[in-house]
Amino acid sequence: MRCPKGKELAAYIDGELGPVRSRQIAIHIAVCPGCARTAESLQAVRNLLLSQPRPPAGEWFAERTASRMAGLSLVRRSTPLSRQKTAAWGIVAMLALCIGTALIVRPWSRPDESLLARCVERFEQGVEQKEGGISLERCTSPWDAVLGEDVP
Amino acid sequence: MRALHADLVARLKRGDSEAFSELIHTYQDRVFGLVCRYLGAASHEAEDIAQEAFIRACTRIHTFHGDASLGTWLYRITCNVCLDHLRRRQREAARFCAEEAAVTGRQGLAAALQTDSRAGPESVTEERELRHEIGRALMHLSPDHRLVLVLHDMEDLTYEDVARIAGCRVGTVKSRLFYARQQMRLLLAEYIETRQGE
Repeated sequence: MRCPKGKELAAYIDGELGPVRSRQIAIHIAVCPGCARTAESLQAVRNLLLSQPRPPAGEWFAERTASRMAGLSLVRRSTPLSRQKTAAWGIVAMLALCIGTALIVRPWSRPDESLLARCVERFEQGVEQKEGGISLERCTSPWDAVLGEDVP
Repeated sequence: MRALHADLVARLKRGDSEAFSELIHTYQDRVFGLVCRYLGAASHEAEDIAQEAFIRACTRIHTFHGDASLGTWLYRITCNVCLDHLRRRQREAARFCAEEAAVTGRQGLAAALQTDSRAGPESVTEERELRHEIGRALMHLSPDHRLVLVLHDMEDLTYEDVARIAGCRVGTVKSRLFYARQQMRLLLAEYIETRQGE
């Protein structure tokens, strides 16, 4: 048998050859001092490298990496509602509150019918209202005529 | 294991921060170790590059389809980040120093390691000295040969996984591995003989 190629010798010592080819090479190595030496040295290199401990990552590596990722906004927290959803719900709640308040407050701020009638009457009579520095000539609506009166 | 990974991948794709934390805790030593060995980088630099690898994994998780294991995929991303780093180093060297432009990145790295190993050899233990010598010898290999050797002989991956990560055929992995070991045998002859004599 001819000497095997280098890559075959490497595969042989790694146990990556099929059983038949592996046996052929084992037989050859037993009778070929050159290949035996090469295989032995390759095995020695492999053993030396495998025996080297892997340099460990620093103690706080994971935390530092996670914080760097968070800084880049690459990940989001695993809460059920995302930020956008929370903001949307906030806006809806605010709107509901505003509409509700408006519905409750509006009847209270509406003047009673008699006051409205009095205002219109005074406006039509052209009574000059000087209080507050506003003259009726310049009034554009009956409401301006009661500026001096207390509106409930 | 596959089912566990499938669940982790699904959570990663949803952008779950806890899943990323789990990924980092599981693979931090492997990624950091590969960066240190492949680039011969000092620990602070290696940490920066390893972080970059995790960030890239985070941004490209949608490209993971489960053809290889999650670990193999992450190794491949780490290798690409390392290669980018090597190219950047070479570009910077070319930009700032005309003389250094003629020197390849690996020679520069080897020189850096040599300087490092000269810093008080008496104070370091034998094992540490051996680690330095192995690191220095690795830097004498081309990046392609170094990658295959580190992945197979140091990270203990199979030929198939190494081929996937390095982006070459299994036959090429075998050839590169043989050549790289031969080189290492010459570079570390003194240490290998001592070990064999023990």
